[in-house]
Amino acid sequence: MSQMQALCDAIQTGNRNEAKRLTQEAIDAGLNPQDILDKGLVPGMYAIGEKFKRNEAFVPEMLIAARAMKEAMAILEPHLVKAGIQPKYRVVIGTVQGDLHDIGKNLVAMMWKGANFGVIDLGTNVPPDKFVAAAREHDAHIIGLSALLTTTMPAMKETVAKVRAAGLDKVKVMVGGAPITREFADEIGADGFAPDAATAVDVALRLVA
Amino acid sequence: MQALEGVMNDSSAQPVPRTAVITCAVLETEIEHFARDLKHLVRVVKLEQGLHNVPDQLRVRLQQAVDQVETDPAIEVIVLGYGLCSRGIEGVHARRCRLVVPRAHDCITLLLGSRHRYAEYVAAKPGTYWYSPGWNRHHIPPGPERYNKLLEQYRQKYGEDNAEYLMQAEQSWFHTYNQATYVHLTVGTTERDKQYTRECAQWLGWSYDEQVGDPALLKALLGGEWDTDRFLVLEPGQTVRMTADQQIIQAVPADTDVARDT
Repeated sequence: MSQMQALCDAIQTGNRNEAKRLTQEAIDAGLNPQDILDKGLVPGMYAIGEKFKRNEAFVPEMLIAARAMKEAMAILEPHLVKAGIQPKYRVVIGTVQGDLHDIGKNLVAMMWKGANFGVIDLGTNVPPDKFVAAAREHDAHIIGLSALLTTTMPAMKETVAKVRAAGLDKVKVMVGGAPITREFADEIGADGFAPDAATAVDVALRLVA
Repeated sequence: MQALEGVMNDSSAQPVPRTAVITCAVLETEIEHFARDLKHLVRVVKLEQGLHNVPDQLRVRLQQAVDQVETDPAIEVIVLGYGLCSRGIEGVHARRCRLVVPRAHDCITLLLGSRHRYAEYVAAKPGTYWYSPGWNRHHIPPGPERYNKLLEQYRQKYGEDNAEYLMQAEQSWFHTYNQATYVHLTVGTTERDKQYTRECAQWLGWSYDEQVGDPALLKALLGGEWDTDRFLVLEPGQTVRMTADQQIIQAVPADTDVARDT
């Protein structure tokens, strides 16, 4: 098994110690840090994300994989910076007002970081104005809105309306969360919808392209 | 409107159509209590609590229950003891009977008695985790019992290192909540159950509140008082779809694709 395949497996199974060891080994062996990210870490998260989509893996598996990814990323990041690899795009993410759930939002943030997006995480229960202010301050390309509850879906609608009213024309709004469908995303005028964390990367890349 | 051969209730001058109830077990005690003297209720079907965790599964199980109930020609109306329940009721439809659905996000509305009271309560206290007689009976709510059980499961499945982390992740989620609210209709309520909820709250560092609900909504659902403000009455061939506003749900043709669009 190749070194990158082993790293991919360590991420996927949430074996953080192995993931960190293999990342360090790859750096020491002089591998390109971007390759370590693209061929080891990201495919590992993608693989577990795909299993999640098929109901073959569940939230705990996603969480331990994300932790392994986060810790391996911490080792890799200084090397990415040294190699001059900077985030090309900035995204502001948060869970909408009234909703305190963050697991899905955190997983999407992790996937975006892996795809070399600069992520500004506003946390949970975020009022619409705070999304608007953060997007302005960081000159964001994308705002990502998460909701777990059907009771807080109207807050998502309101947030999209506030972003439009604020005249942030070049900012794309992406929505997601367990009860969200593409149809709802279209209805409230969002630019993008992702049914899961793995797809969120593809959708974001398409929106900024 | 089609002619219905209804049953006269003692308290009502209007005949109420013969009705079956399909309910989540989380509301079984309350529904059995208020259904007791209603002669038009010919059947109560219970499905186990927790199906909403996989909404597609709830949808399939509810549809099976509706199909099964409809084979009884005596039944004219089916009422659901369910709210929108993570969108698990979308797509469910009857072919012959009318289907009555309360305008509610979930069972908490049926206990509180009004979706407006529910909305006001959670707007003031978004960090509320609900406990009720049915919830405490059918699942292990946040508290020491749940913590220890889950920790053991995670240890066995993911190893010590990951188990501890997953518990931290779960606890951090629970730290965003700050209140345990015990909601009940004085039916199936015990001092022990309240005390259990208080102990959970204390262990989690949350405040405790008790809300005595209003049975009016549940009584109207079971009693055939289906005004359009509180209920959605679906004709055969119609199904329910979320509206993401105060109405919560609307009727659409059952062949509309309301399944998850991925």
